[in-house]
Amino acid sequence: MTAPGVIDADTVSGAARLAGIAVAGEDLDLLTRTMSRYAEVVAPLRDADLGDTQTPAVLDPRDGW
Amino acid sequence: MNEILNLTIAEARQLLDAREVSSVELAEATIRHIEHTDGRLHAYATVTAEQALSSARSADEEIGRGVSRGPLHGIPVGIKDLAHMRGVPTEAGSEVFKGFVPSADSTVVERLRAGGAVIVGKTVTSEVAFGPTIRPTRNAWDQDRNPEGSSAGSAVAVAARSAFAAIGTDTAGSIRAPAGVNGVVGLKPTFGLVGTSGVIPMSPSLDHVGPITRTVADCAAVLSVIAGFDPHDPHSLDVGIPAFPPDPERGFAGVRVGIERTHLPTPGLDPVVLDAVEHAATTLEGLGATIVEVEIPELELAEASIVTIKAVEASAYHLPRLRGDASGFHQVTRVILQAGALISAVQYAQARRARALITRAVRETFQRQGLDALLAPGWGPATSVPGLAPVEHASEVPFTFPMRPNTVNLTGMPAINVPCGFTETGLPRGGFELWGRPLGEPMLLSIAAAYEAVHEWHRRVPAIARTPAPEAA
Repeated sequence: MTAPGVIDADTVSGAARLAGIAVAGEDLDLLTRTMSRYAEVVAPLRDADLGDTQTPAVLDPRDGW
Repeated sequence: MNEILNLTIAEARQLLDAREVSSVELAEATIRHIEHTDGRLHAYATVTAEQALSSARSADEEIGRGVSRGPLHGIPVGIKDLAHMRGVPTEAGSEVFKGFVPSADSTVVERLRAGGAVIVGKTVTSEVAFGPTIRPTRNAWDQDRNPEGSSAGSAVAVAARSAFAAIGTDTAGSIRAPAGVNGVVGLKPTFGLVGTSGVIPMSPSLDHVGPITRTVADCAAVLSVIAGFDPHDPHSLDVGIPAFPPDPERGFAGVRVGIERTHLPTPGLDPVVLDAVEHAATTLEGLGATIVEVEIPELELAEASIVTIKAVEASAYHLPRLRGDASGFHQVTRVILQAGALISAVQYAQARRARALITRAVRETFQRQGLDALLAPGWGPATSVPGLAPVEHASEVPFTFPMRPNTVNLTGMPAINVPCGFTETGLPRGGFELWGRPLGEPMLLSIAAAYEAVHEWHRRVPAIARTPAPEAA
């Protein structure tokens, strides 16, 4: 079993199958590296305390102004 | 180069109205200049010479009868090759869209046509605005350097005098970044102010359509034509359009401009950019504005939020292609899109919650401090990158511009890139940005115009535009 947080080709290949996308060969290598990089970029979000923040139903930049 | 191509839109407008120059002359000179320079710049994907000359003849005829369609009547402009233009290929820089010819105009093209603009061609975009540029555009000031951003074709065309203005799109800085490194003005309007229907989307909740021009006044002129309610765009704002022309007489007493030195600059940012921001603050203070130091720690979440939302929404749009034959995409584009499909729904929901948190924090800072604008770092001088060569098999996939100016794509606020001078080697130093309140474009344009008037950097012309084009036969 792959440990949580480890992103390897097996993990990525499984996630791609879940998404209904066929990925293999060189694409799989590149995608695995990309997902590792993604995990680094989103680390602040993973660890963030978002409190009770709710997402507005409609995107209107004037809201609250 | 024909000197009439150095005119600003405002200057060309005066000459057109006085019949001292014709739209046909402007269009012919522009097309000749494109033919002369675009082999080195590759700013255009398609040149629509015949259509342009036909539009120019109509404009001249109308102007001759005293009909005015507004500031762009008879002015040559370029359109990013994501926006549909009836009867003209719209290929989004991708083999996947090769040969696609839309049967209707996008809203932005429709508005430009109604305003009498003369569309000279479709400008190069990186593949579906997300991947690499298959045949890269070159920086207008140094053809060995990067032009940055998916709207590079539009920015390079404007800087090189191959269009008086051009339309770009900005999902994560793609108007402002190429505008910065090519020394021109780029505006990402308030989300929903300019309709996006008929523009191939990247990330619909982050996508914006906006102008790239050589001066702030020209930017205001283009915005006044393209802004307005778009019934086919679910995010379009049904609001009265603010008066856009910058007010040169506007005093700065009472104008409050924030500066965020702690959390807004991306770690590792080029010191040249930070200097530009400080220099802008000093200039604006000298004009009478009050500079207010602020801190917005929530900005630290901006990159994580936008990279997630952008990748997921782009992947959702292209999912049928990813699940079918995706071989038409460049490998880098294909893999980035595949990555978006692998991000979980929970991660996407968290990214949207972070977006709401950031938006509230920025709004409350504006309100608490009574800000009219916020100064932000733009993009630094153009880099010389190996990526300029066509990438056959990329070894790395850059996931996003790691830049916090993308925050405004999350908040929907307007943001303008303002040119801020040149390096010792003659490259644009990049730019600083001004962010404003939603629908605060008039204030942003006024501040930017005042800064521009102090320095007049927009009068410099890149070397490639100064070389004489052969005269017409």
